Amino acid sequence: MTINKTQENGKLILAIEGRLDTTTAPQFQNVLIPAFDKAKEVMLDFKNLVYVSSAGLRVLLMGQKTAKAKSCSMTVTGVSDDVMEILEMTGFSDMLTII
Amino acid sequence: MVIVLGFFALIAAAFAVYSAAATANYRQLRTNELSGIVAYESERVGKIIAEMERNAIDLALAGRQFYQTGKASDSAGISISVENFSAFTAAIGGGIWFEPYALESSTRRVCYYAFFDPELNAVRHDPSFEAEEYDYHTQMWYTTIAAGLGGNNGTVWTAPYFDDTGTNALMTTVGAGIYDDSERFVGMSTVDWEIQSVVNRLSDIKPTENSFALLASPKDDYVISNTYESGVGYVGSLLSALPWYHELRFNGDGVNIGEFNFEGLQYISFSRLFDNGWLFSVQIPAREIFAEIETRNNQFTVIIGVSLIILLALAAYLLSRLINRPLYKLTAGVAELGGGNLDKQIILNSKDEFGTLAAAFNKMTVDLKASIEQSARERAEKERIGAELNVATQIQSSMMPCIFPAFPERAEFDIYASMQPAKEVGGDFYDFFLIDDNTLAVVMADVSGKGIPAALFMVIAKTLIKNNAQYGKPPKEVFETVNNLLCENNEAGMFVTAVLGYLDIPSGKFTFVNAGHNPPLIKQGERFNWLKTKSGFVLAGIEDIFYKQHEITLQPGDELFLYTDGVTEAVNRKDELFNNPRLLESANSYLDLPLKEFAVSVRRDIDKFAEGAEQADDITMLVLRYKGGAL
Repeated sequence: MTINKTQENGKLILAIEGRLDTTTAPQFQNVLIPAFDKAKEVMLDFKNLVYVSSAGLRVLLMGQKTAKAKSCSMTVTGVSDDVMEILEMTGFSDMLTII
Repeated sequence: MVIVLGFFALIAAAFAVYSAAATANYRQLRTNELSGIVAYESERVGKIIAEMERNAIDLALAGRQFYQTGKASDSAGISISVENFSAFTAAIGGGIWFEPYALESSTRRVCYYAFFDPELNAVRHDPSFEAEEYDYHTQMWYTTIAAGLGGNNGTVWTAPYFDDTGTNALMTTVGAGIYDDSERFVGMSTVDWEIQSVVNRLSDIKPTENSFALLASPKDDYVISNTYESGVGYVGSLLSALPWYHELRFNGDGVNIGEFNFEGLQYISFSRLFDNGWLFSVQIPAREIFAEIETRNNQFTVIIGVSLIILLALAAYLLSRLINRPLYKLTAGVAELGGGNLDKQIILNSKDEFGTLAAAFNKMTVDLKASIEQSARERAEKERIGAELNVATQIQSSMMPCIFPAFPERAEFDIYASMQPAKEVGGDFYDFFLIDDNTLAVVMADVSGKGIPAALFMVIAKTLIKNNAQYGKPPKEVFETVNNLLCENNEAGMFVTAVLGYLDIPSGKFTFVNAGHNPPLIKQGERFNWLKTKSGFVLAGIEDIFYKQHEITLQPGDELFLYTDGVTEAVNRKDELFNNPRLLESANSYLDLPLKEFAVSVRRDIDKFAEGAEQADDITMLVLRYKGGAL
């Protein structure tokens, strides 16, 4: 998994590429959680995200909670059908702001 | 080592240079010394010659006086010759001789000759030279001297000749002229020098064993004598006939030094030319001159060689002390370490690389020991944890119903379930229990993550769900309660996906709620299909979630298949997921099998798909077959 960071009008875009699973989730967590200290808006680009496991979902949940606690926004974009299936199945599609 | 060898090379070079310089220096000194000897000897020989010449002149002066006073008597002439000759004994004889009729018109031959008579041990007069037979005016020595004088006051030497007077001695004669007042030549004096005594004299001059001396008279360049060939003088040769004549140097003052080769030997020639024309020369074989220096050089070489060998031995010893001994100590230390003695310390009191190496070795053994002890501790710890995990695995599996058939007395339904954790303990769990005689509750859940954290969370989740469900609270309310309970103090941010369903056994009505879990498969009629409903959010994620409850009715023969994402997300070596379509196909391949065999077959398909790839997640399955409520 690789994470590309870009800044755009005060919005931090994290583009995730590859698999978000037990082994890569800690890396994602280390990038995502501190991101809310740097930007009010964090956008997760899932265009190249192939798979997300429960460990990855847990980080997304933590991100959502952190965003709420710090009055930031976290949006998700470019979700593929496969990933969307997982998000819908787990109810995350209702919890996350998917655009 | 290179430094040491270089050092020795330097020493050897220094010795060689010093030796060469010393040799050159010594040769010069030795040559000077021999020059001195030759100068001294030539001085002695020269003195004899000079005195003989002077004697001849003295005799001539006496003869002149005798001539001026007229022939007083024979006895006066005899006493002149005897007295004057007696003054110098290096000669064997000497006398005065007058020209024909010069002293007396009546007498052709007037001469007075005295000689040393060894029998008398005294000088006496020899009258026999006046004899007509001898006719001294015709003798070679007389004519030579008379011709050579030419009116001067000097002396003339004859070539060596054999005396005819009976002694047959080989001699040379020096003569001086007797002149009257008008400087007319009226006679001569002579002094005879026996060659043998010259030879003897020269034979004594031997600075080295095979050196030889030669003496040449002035005018005729005759070799008077030499001691060449074991002291046997050879006499009567022309100096210019000597093979090395052209190599001789006698053209300056003092001793001239020349070099020549003769009969395979190199000679150094020390020559001196006197003012009166005599030449004195000593020939010395070069190797004898320098024999001493060569011997000394040889000794020097031996001394240097021996010194070098001693130095080398010393160096070898030092090197051995410096290198081999520490090396041996180190080797022995390493061997001892290899033998298992981790307390081995090498004591080397040197500040060089060996000291550093020994220190590094000592540090290594200490570190090694610490590391081995550490890993032993870790291994013990691991074993302890492993043993505990083993127990945990047993506890976890015993927490889930695992005796099948689970309800042998109930003919209305059949149930089978299995859980295989990816690690020792897992985060998946299933559960089923009778709430009352008519209601069977089934649970399938998956805690995010794996291993011990997931297992601990799983225990809580399972307990909470069972506690809340077993008194008949609707599934929706159970999840809403459990969700809030799990959200409390969920610092780790874990969550649970779960399905909880109640089967009303008499009617076959199945009421269920899905909190973010994989959709179950349902077999209605001949095939399995997805029991898709809108999922609620996972448990323990966010508080105060409302869950939607769903209902279906099972017909006898219908089956429910619940599983976790460990099934659909099993991965093969190409990182491909087992996925829903494969699961559906697999489930449909094993219709109507006993439930356990069904589960095992699906599991086998998953393993086949994985192609030996490591199981990444817990794999949990639960199958429920409804047989009918009225049985």
